[in-house]
Amino acid sequence: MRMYNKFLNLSEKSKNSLFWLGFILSNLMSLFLVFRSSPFMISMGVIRRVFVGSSRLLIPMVYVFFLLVVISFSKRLAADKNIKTKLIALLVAVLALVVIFSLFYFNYQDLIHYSNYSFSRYYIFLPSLKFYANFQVLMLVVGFVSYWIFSFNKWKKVLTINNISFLIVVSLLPLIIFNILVGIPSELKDELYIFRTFVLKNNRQIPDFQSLRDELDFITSNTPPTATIIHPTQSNEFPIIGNQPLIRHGLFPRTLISAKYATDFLLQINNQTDIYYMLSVSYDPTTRIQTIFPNYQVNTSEILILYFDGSVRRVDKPLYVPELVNNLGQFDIGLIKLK
Amino acid sequence: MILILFSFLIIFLFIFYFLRRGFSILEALGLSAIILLGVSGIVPFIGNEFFNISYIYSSIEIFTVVFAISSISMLFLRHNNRKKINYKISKIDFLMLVLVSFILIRGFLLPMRGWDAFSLYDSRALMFLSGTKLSDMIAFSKYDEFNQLYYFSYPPMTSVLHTVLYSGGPTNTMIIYAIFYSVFIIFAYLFIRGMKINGILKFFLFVISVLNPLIFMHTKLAYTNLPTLTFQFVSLYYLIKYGKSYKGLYLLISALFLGFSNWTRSLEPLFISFFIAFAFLILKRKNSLIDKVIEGAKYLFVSMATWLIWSLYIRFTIGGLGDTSPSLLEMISKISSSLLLSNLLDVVFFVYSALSRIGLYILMTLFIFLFVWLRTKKSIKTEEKIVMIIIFTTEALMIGGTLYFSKTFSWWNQIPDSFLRSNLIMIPLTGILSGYFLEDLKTRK
Repeated sequence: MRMYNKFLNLSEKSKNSLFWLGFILSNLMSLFLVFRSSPFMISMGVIRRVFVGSSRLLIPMVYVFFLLVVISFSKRLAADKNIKTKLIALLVAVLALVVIFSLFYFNYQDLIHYSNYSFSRYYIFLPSLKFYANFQVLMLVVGFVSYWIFSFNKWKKVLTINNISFLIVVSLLPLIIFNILVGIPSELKDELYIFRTFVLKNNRQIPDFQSLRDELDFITSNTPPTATIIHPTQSNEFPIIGNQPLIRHGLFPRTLISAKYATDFLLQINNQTDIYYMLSVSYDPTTRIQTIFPNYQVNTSEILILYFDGSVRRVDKPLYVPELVNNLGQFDIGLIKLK
Repeated sequence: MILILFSFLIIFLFIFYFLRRGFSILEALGLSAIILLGVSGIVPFIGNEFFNISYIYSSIEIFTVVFAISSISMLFLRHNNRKKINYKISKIDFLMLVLVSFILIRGFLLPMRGWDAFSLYDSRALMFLSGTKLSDMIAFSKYDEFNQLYYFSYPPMTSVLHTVLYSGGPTNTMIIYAIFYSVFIIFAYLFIRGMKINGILKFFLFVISVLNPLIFMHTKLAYTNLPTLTFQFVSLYYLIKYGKSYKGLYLLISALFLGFSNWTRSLEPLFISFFIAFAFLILKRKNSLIDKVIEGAKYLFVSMATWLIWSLYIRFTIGGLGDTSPSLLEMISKISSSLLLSNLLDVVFFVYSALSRIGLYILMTLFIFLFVWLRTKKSIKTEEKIVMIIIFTTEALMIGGTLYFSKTFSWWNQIPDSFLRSNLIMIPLTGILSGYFLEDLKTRK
């Protein structure tokens, strides 16, 4: 601490060179990290990898060094009326603002196009840019707060516990607020989406589950409340309609049976009517595997199919076989009534 | 619904005119809203489960209970004439009221969201309304391959609130969460308003404690995290008020809200951190030992009553929840066996990555802890100590809980979002703590 207080009284020239050293180092390194995947950086080969790997340790060190320099610089700024010092401060501040606004800009670009847009188009690695912008905010706040304190001549020594703690707590506050601000555009997008598609259109769909409401309404309007419905087992193929508590939200008071217990259940009951199978197909586009439920034969009295446009088709067949699905085209969900 | 509004009016008038503790209009409004929510989440459930009263009559039940309690306490308490009624509304108070009304209107419009909201909280509400008791829901586990005893995994606070709302006709449930959020920002404002620091800093503190997207997001989701957070936050507000004046009323309110929070989520035992803070407060007070014990018993009884009802209910209906509510001995053995280095590294990495989205808050808290430790020569204020105790024990519990989970469930490291949601209270606590710290720096240089 004493060392730093001494450092504040170094000669003008060496302070100047330290300032520029910190400024250039911190900005260059951050820029390299932001453009880590640009063709130029890729062409550096091993050097790039060593640099990116070691940057986790190097960057914080450089940043802390530059922050200390900034504090001493603001002391000078508060004391002398030299126009040159003020111009330098202005330049640094403008550069910082450019970085901060570019973060907002590229964040916005990602939002309106698709996530990862700025990376694939401009090679900009957004997390690094965010870190860089965060540092610029921190630097601006530290510079401003210490300038304000020095110009009222409040601190005789800079590094006392009280002063450091005040500086750190007060500088972290705007930093947190800045990060809240960065998150606001995506919040707004979500808010607009909800209001446009649901609130203003009086839409009864459930926002998080695209067509679940249609499916559940289809089942409730085609089965009596005393019905029993056998649904696929909860799995990666059927994450939503396989989740019994979730579909019970719309199907209560119907009895729900998980596919694994279907045979147990069918053996136990006698003379019960109104038992249905949910007919559903899950298609995995990456593995191109089609999973059909139920994947075995069922004696049936009728099959109802709901299509995505809301139309319902009735298939009269005495026996359901899984291959039947291939003749039905793209459909949302179906109901098989057990004979 | 009209009866519910009348109950709100009764609580408000009771607090504002009868108690006369110099409550401002804003505080009285927030307090009555949150008391009404808490009562509505408990009374109809007990009425239905133990006395077979249908949820259709829940508004009558709530009105009766509110009316009875306030009139009985009016009979037994002396009318407090000495304090003047505080009619003043400052400009910023008014701004807060405008903000709150915006949030409430928005709450009326939003559709319900959230996976657990549909599968658990709102499902239970719909079943309650159609006459199914919670104890009847055991039957649903029989033909479900997964989700055994799923409907018992959370206490019924928000489900009952949904039911009460539905009992007056189809309504948009998100208004409940809008009210919770409004109360939360009112109390954050009350916390920060009292601090003796620069106005800009106050504004900053308010923004960081209230407007964080992680908390704001919960006005769109029907999850239990926001209600729990609000109850605990209000409880803390009155615990700190109690620490200043040692008035029994504040103790009662604080304990009541802690009880409500236990009725909302019982998974995280955060009440322990409140007990430790409370123990610190009564040990500090200069009174006889018997008085201390009586005060402590009161606090424990009121805040744990709901927890007791819920755990007894669970024990008598389904016999226990298994691994999420272990015995103390089992817990200690599992935690000690989890202290192997490899497991410890896993846990530390999990906590670090899960909390990275509130990393700056944690950093701020760590810095403040460090600075308070470095400035030991200067005594710090009681309020600050209470907040520090709560933050410290909460995090210790969270990490201890993660250690326990890491040895109990194989999926323990797949729920970082859920872990983050459990740590939401760190956000406003950091705001409050930094406010007190800055105040300390200013007044005792």
